[in-house]
Amino acid sequence: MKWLKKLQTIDSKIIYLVLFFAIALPLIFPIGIPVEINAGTRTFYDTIDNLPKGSVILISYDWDAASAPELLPQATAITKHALTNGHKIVALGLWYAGPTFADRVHNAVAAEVEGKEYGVDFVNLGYRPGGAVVLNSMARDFHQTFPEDVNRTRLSEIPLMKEVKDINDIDLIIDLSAGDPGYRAYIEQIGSQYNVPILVGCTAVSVSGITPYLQSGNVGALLGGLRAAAEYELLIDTPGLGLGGMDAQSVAHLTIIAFIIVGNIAYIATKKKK
Amino acid sequence: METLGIWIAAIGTIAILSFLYKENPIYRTVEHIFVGVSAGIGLYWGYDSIRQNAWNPLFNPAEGESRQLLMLIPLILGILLYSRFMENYKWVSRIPLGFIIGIGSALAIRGVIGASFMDQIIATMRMPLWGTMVKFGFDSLLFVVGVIGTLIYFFFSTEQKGALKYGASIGKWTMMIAFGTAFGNTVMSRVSLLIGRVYFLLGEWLQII
Amino acid sequence: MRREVPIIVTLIAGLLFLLDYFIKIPLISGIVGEFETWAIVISAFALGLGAANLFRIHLQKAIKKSEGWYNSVLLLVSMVVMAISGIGWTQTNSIYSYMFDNIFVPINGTMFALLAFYLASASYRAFRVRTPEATVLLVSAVIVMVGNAPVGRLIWEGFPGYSSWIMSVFNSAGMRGIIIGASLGAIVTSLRIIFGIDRSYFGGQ
Repeated sequence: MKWLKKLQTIDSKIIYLVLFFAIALPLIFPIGIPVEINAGTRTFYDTIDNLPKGSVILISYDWDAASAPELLPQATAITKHALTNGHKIVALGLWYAGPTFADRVHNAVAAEVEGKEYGVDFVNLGYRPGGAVVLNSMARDFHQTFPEDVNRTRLSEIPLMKEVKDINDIDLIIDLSAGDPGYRAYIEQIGSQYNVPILVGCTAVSVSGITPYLQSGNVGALLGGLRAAAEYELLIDTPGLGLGGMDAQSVAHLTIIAFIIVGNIAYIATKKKK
Repeated sequence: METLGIWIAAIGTIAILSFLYKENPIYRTVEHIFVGVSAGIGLYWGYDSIRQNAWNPLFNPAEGESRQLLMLIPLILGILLYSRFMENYKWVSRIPLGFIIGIGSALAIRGVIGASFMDQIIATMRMPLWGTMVKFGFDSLLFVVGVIGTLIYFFFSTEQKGALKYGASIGKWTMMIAFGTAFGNTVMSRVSLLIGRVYFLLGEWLQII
Repeated sequence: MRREVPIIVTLIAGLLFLLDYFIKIPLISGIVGEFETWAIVISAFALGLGAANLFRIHLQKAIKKSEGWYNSVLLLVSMVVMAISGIGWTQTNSIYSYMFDNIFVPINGTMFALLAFYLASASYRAFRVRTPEATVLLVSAVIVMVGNAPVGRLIWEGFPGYSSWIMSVFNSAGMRGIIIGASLGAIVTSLRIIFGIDRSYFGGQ
């Protein structure tokens, strides 16, 4: 069975090309596979929904461009949901690209939700290096840790930050995390010392590591990857990048599974022959 | 300007993708530009943190606030970090390094003890299982046995024989399943990133979506 | 002196932060609060350390016109432009935004997207049912992959359920065992660092 042997040593570039088309074709010709909403996403949504109007939510942008395709749609959907419900948002980043993405999200959402004003409804505090130490410092005193926002306005002059002095003034923390520092820093440094609920939105790759914290109650709810972003977009009835990519996600997964199966059939067949 | 930006982004994207074919000069050039931009972003935020947290409180305090002379110390300590570029004074950089590493280590202990150690043990003992998988009545048992088995697997103080051997074996199988799920989730993550880039190429650049 | 001073600094900083966690004494809390800001400032200086090193190496390359010098020039120019535009006019200025959106985001995103291709290739070439362990790993990976994609439910109603069962029972159990073990390791390593037993972070001395 020469062809089975050949199948085992197929050129990588063919595999690359097949994967590329497995993603490109469903984007060009959408199939419309229905997306079911998971219980975890529903809990996340309900937590924000059940907060009293005017609650202050801290959203931490702990990711960079490498995770933007997964976390930007999550951030956009969550921010839109929170602002529509009349909550206030304090954004910051433990990764240095974070605050710029926060700006992008705020600009996009503020254009959609009427009457939302920077400094009153949302604020962007920027980035500080140090991870765990930043969280401890911030929990003690926001104004000492972040004396100014990203526009170099003193926090004491920003209406929203006049009400927010320390972590006790925050009603909910949402950490959008792509690694370290990220969800673990929030769970370990803030969650174990202060009584503020923590929700996590993360890349799919981090989901495996977070589930123990979800089961132990350290994390209230979890959004994992692009799929969860798509579900959230459905819940707030605003289709975006998440839902747009779901068909491609399905086809790409099936393609990779097909690779595994074909590779193994060839392997087993040639092994038996030996 | 916006169209030019999209073209620049598209060229950058294709240049990086070209690495799949083989390493080439265009890839290297784009990679260098990226490293430069990243370092520039780091420099900006580094500067801004120093300005806000040390320089302004010391030299330019806000109205109604007093000058914080103590901020001179972290400024000096920070500068001392750069002594590592001078062969004879390299050791001086270990002072600020020791300061942040001491704090980092203490914070690691503080954080880990509560959330990642005690809370995880307590949660295993309480076991109200997340999810609604009622058809598997023995979930809690599987879970507890899995956690204990994994811990036994990493228990190297005595030779693993008898009950310990069986425990370690359960741990090994539990971890194999866990690593499988980690692989599945990694595939999901990386595919999502690729979707993002293909979406950009076909949508924003070529405009065929 | 060269050894003792850094070790004493590490010890004092570490002990103060540990003490503050277990016993709340206003004086110590005050010092710890101050030290937190100091640590942020020193970490900010550390951010520049990598850039300084990069600057030194590539400036030398550019001056000596060694192989690929033009890449070094491009690196230096993009670093300086990005840093100055941010430092001078914050991240909201047009040059910073332009370079962030059109260089940083697409290139960084694509670099990590490349891994999808390598994963696909590895799935085809290396993900084999060689041993029972590898088979279990493969089966759980496939179930999670199908269950996570919306198409899973269309193929078989049970996929999402089994996927979340594997995630919440076996994955959580295995990961929790690893987390508890790693936590013990982190506590011991951190204590060794604070008390000066482990000095590897000083550069092997």
